[in-house]
Amino acid sequence: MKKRYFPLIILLFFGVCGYALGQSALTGIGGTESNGNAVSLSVSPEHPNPNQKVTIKALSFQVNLDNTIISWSVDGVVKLSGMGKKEFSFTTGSVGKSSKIVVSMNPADFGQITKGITITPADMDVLWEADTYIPPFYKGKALPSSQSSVRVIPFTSFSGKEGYYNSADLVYKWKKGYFGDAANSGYGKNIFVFNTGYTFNTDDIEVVASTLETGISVKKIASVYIYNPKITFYENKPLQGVRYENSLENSFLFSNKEFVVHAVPYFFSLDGINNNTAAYNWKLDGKKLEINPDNKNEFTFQKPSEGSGSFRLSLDIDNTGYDLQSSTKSLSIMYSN
Amino acid sequence: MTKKQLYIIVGIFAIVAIGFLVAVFLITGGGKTPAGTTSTNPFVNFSPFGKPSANITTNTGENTAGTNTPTGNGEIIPIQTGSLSLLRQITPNPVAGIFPINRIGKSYIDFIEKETGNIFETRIADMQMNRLSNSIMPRIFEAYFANGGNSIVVRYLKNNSDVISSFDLDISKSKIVPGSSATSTSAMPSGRFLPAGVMDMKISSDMNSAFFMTRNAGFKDRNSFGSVFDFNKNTVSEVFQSAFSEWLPVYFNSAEVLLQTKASQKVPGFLYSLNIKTGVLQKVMGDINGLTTLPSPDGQKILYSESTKGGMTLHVYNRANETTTDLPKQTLPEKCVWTKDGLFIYCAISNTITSSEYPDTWYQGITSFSDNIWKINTQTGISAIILTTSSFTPQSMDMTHLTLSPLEDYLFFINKKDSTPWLYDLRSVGLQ
Repeated sequence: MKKRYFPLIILLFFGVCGYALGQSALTGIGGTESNGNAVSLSVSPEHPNPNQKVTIKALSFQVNLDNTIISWSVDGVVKLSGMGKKEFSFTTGSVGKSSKIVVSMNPADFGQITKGITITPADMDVLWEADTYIPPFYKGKALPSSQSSVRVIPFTSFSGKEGYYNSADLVYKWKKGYFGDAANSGYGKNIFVFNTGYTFNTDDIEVVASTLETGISVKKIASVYIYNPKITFYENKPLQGVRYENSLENSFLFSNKEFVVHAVPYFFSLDGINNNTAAYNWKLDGKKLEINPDNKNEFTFQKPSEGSGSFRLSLDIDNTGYDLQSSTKSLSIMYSN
Repeated sequence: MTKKQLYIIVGIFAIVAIGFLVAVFLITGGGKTPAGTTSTNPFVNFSPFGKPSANITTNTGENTAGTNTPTGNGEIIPIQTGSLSLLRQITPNPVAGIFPINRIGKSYIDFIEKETGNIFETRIADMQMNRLSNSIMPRIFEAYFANGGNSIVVRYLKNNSDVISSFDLDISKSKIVPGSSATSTSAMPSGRFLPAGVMDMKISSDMNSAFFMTRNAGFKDRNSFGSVFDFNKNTVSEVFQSAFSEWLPVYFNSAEVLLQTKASQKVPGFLYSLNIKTGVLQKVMGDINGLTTLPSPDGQKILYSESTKGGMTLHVYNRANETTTDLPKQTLPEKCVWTKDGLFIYCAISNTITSSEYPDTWYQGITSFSDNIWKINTQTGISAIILTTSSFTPQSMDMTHLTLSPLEDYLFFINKKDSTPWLYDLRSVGLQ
């Protein structure tokens, strides 16, 4: 082959390769284009939610976009047109409702350029629950304390051709703080379990869920705040049971012959409480009390038969095996005859 | 003065004196003054006959003044006559649940005592109380009336453990019906246990079934299960399974269950709709810190609160048009009740709210409120106070379980401070 044809062949080769590589696809976004290699599009946010404002920017190293009339259309309807209109915003529809965005321009010395993307919003709520103690009938949430176990469960809304995707049929990438967790990420890995850090900090758990074939994805972060466990006292009445409706705070005056204080160890890790390994240290006016080891969370107070006065009752709970799970509570018990 | 004139004067005095005494006797012929009521009868303390004995009800439901006819249970239950306060305590004993009914145009309130499990019915007009069941069941924490009042699901802790037992008490055949003849013995209520460890439950709008949540043991592989119990068919069917377990059912009808995530001040809460037939879960609203909710009777409006730094704000979300109305008051939806038309709410609202982490500290019993009752138009936000509690009683009330009578002429609630039931007569309150 003659040498003068060599540069032409090389140019042709790279031209073909460049065209093939130019077929770009953003996650969840499909593309159509005419001469579109000259222009690229960036989408923010990268994983759009339903009813969310999305901004698309056109970028080019070959075309002077500032001197070019650019038109943007959504589902075939022109929404924005003008000189140098490189940026376009619109609001996504509901979950699964696709929007086809096409940008077109006709710069001098270049010819017609069109580039299109399809954006299909998905949604995801990230719920979590902690393995810590709350009393029976309690209507509130069990909160995480330091070193407690937390499960994170995403609830996804990904619309496909045959309805919504099952959460178990998606691919998940999990990250705790700055660190990705490859071992617990992957197809169908829709539950993430971790141990919390230190009290009064927040553990940020990031999850990106995406479909296998269409590439639709959504990213969310759940911020899990870590609380101090605490003790709350209640009266255990013989015929009513524990009066969870009203706690005993600061001081309590009682007139019956006997009075049972029931201690609830809110937000201590469950295994220490259920396995009876947590240490309960009851004191009355500073003196240690001997209590039933099978019923460590109750103290029965017998009123002196005459006179009146007060006692200082205190309880320390230390959840063995958890460095920062401990708490103290005091109550002044007053009596009279 | 002649003897004849003297006899006439003495005779007139005697007639007047006898007439006066007869009048005093008749006027003071009343019973005990119930708690929370004010007797306006000035003769009570002046009657030379002493305080009258209580009027007693027989099992015929007749008021037999001046007699002591025991009921078939051997118990004397006094009734009150005379002027009744608009706000009155139904019983001084703590109760686990209440249920207002209307029978032949008369209003009644049924309730079950926490300490005994005895079931009573009080006629509102004169506070006449009848015992419907004397079966003993102590330490009931909460109770749900269902099936037109013929079933009561009582919930208590098993053997001093943390395991919740739920028993469906069928009192339809055993209860003593007012107006029937007294019997020396009455059939023991029958029933059945629901599965152990029912965490939360909700009675359906038509009261014929209950939706309840259970979960399996363990944590990493935990699953929760939603089931429907039919009171008439006596069947349980599982309709829902979830990897998340902190669900609180807040509404239940034949088509859907509204499930709210359990609330905490700093944690975003969510409300989902569960389609009973398909088992599909769909989000209604969410990402609201401390979310607690009270759906309207048709489930289309959601009264909800959002936690703020030391308190809460109150709003109504309309599911149909996805709009939100902000209400000008601070309270928790658990302290409100919707009217049947879904337009108004009656809410227990405190004048001052101590800065705290709501709803957590209220659920934990650490904070409590001193409530008045307000009526709020949920479309306009216009509100009016209809009960200033301190005008009737020095007792502070933290009102919960607000319930309207079928004709919406009475409002009932339980005072969280001592679990006693109260009623407020709404007939004097104008429409807003």
